[in-house]
Amino acid sequence: MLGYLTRRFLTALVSVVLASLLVFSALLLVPGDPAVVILGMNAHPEALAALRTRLGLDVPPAQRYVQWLAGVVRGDWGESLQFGRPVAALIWVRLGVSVPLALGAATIACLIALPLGIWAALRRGSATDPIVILASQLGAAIPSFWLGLLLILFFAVELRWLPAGGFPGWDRSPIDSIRALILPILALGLGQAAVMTRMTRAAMLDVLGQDYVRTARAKGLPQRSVIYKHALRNALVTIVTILGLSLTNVFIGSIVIEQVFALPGLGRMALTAIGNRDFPLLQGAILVYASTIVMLSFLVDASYGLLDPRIRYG
Amino acid sequence: MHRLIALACALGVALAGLALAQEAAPVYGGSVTVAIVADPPGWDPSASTSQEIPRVVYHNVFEGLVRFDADGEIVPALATDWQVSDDGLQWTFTLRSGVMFHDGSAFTVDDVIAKFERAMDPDSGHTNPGYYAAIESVESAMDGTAVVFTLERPSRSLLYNLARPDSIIYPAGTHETQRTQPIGTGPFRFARYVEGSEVRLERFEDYHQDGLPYLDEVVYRIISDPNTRFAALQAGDIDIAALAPEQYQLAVANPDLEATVGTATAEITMALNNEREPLSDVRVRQAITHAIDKDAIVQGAMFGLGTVIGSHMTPAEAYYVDLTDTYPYDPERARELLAEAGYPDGFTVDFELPEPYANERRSGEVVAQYLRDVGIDVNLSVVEWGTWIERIFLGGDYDMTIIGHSEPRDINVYGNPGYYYRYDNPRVRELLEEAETAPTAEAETAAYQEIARIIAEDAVNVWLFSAPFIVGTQNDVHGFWVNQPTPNYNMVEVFRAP
Amino acid sequence: MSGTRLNLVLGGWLIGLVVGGALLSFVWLPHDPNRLDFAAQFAAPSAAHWLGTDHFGRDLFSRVLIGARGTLYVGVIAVGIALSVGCFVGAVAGFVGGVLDEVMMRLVDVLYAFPAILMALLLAAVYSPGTLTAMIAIGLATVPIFARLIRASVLSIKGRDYVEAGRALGARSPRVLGVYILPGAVSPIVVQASLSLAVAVLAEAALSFLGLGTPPDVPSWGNMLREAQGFMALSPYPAVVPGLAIMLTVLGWSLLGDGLRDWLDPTTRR
Repeated sequence: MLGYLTRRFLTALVSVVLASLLVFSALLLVPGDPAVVILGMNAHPEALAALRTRLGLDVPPAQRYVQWLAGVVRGDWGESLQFGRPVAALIWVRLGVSVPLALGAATIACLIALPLGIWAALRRGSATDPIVILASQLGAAIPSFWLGLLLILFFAVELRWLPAGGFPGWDRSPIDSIRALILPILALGLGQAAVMTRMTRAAMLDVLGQDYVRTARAKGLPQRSVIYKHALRNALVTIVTILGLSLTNVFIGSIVIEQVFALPGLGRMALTAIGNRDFPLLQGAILVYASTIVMLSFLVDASYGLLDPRIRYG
Repeated sequence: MHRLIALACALGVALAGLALAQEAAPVYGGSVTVAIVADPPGWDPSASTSQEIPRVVYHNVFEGLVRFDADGEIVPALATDWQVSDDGLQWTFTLRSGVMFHDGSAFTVDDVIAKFERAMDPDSGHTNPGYYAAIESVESAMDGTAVVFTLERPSRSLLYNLARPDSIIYPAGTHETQRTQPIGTGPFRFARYVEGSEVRLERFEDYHQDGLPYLDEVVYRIISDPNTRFAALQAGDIDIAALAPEQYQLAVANPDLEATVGTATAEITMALNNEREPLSDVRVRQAITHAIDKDAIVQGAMFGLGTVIGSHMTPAEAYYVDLTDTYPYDPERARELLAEAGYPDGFTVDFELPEPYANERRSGEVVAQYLRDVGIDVNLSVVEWGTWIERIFLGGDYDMTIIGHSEPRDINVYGNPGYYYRYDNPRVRELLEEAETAPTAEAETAAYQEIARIIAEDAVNVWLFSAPFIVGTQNDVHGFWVNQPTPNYNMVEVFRAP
Repeated sequence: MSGTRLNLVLGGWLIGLVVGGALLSFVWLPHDPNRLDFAAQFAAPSAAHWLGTDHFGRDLFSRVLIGARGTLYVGVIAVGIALSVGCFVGAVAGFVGGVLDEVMMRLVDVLYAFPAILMALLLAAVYSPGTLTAMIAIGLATVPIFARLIRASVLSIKGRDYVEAGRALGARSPRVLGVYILPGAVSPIVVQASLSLAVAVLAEAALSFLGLGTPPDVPSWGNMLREAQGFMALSPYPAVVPGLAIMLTVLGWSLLGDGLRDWLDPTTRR
């Protein structure tokens, strides 16, 4: 099993490096010149040339990629053109918003979806099952940014319970920071909950239909014991997959939600970096997203072996 | 109904300054939060021409020898007064004594000299070297209590240019670090900047003008989305925010908010590439101007909040002359002119709008509709800001675009054939020279107005409207600049009182 | 009516409505969708404007009909891109196997690390944002699903008797692939295409909302929402109407996909 994990980890690493190459070479195709954006509309040509040299934009691309990748490994992600500060530090601060947002949304989604999905599976055929299914279908069809707008209109503008957007910062006011994340977490988490409910229900039904569960039932074990000891444990494998997928979804979904709620997260930074031609920052941000996704899928695969005793890796 | 609103707004502008002055007595202390729309590229107004920088730091953090006040008048700042020699070539500024920078060092004549030597050097990276082109030398005088500017030629615009954000003064030798750690002489110290989130300024105890500022702290919070900005204002999370036109009525209706429509110097300009076929034909450009109902654009894109203009000057500026009737809305005439120019069936043209600016984007959509009505086939697209600056603005590679030119007194760009309008008229350059060296203020005004008239008749661009400065403030916040003679969220005399 | 039938019927109706609306927009519209009418800004639904008007006084019903075209167009092309690239890669990788399989699937894994929005961020930085970049971004992001699906189908069918028999009779590889293997994979592809269309519609709306999608004067649903955002307190209709349209279309594709799966694959019918 260790051999499998190592091999799987190595392929994940290869994916990350390939992703970095893709990002870097894609941005090379941009005919753009970041210097002009920094200096603004009335910039003077001499000032532009001076800035270009200072930014190291006159080094050949292949050399720049190797330098950049070597730097990334050492933790030196370059310097943001717009802010004049290290990219890694900027990303780290932004992750302080994006990660709690994504984790919060995934937690909400789990808290709603797991019980509801299991419940619906157990009540298959009853009148409530189709209602849960339809509700989850509907929920999954609502665009999260649209839900976010409605939440702002209702909870921030009408009721004034929660802030409409912005983020005070963890060090300044942890409580206000949490309050600022509540609506975004809901906007992001509710849709995800709908998606997960359906998946959990399906996973549960799969397991409940399998022989050993039928056998357990036939042996006259109490319903509760059947569900928790046998079915749920075996459904866990599928549920972990769903969880991994959900984390990926909310992490990517946070890009849009951060825009709706004006949260200073990684996604919003990436969006402004496009407008500002701040490529060191943009490629850093995209790399963080891409490698997180790759690593999440690695973790999901790795956890299979731990959860399902029937799976042995060759 | 919209006309009524516009009228009410005009009245509001007139009364706003008066009302604010009489409303409440200043109270010391407290903090006010202001929304800004984007992270600026650094904080040094002499390192980038981005207007986001002076909005925060002008007067609040940085001062020059002179500055603009709330009415756009030029008033003393680091200089207490100034004299001009009879030939107009020697300008002597008496420096304010006992002024401290935020880092505790004293403000001296050396800082002034270092500043302007950098500004005059085109290789230094200083913005707009053209503003200082007339200066031959800057020297200390009267034992360093004054500074003398010796000019190569008389310059009408010198004093104005010295009041601009580009001309702020910081300690000699600190220009490398000012981008990230601004140090000036203003009433607020730059305290903390969290990228993408907020900027904090703190009261500077040693400010040279006694009794100012009133506030202990100012927070500029970065909120790019106009709806989030307005929602945050309504929710009381922020105290002052510029509003989108559609938000104005809602703000007026909100009992917790005060909403004002003030003047600003932004011309929303539909720029035409005068070098490109068929826009190079003056008849085509005239036809385009005739085809567009500017009143409808102000109505549709700005909800009536905006003043139609006919050339590159806003009513808020000293040299303004009303040229709105040069080529009025007349689609029939537009079709005739197109036919005369050899395009009876119209032509196809690209129209690119800058992504970050909603007013421009909306105006562009309406304009496109009017152009289609006279048979011009418009390809509308939205471009990223970086692309806009580089390809369109610097490269001149475009047909038509829309942008707000918010700098005050920038009609001189029409004398630059390399500017992205690609308009080349020697007569305009002559007149600019005339205005700059004019013997009297009247002659200067006449020259500028003549330029405005010539470019209007040449239909260089379509000047759609001047955009007002619409701002919403919480009722207990007073003293904010409701007009914007220069882009500046001025907090120096702002205070909180019920 | 069983759940399967309900899914199929409801999904079919919803998508039929969208397709019908898009087709109708070619022959008949109640108003010119781009006509500005400042006398009718923010009109509520009425006999003249069935779904009300937007901030320019444009007819929302006409714009929603036109928008249906764009939604179908972007979704179908994006999924088409994903389908053709994914099928090719998956089929070749699964059929040939070995090193080629390994390399191709590694490359697909890299794509998997770039969901539509991330891909669109990258493409928007390189090219200017627009319908084409949005379609390509969504398409590329959807490639891995199809590639893996096809590869799995090919692997499972490859060893079966009739394929071996075909080979033994001297059929050449592409023929074996085309005649014996791919037809067996059609039903999962159809199901996945329908489900992917749901995702694509959502992604396109999100991209337009971020300003990375369809150009502003094309009445796409995402654009309508983006524009309406600022006016929600003045009139709910410009935001509610396209929001609902997006929701019902996404719902339609996913119901249809679910229904098709249960209908085409009797073993999972429950």
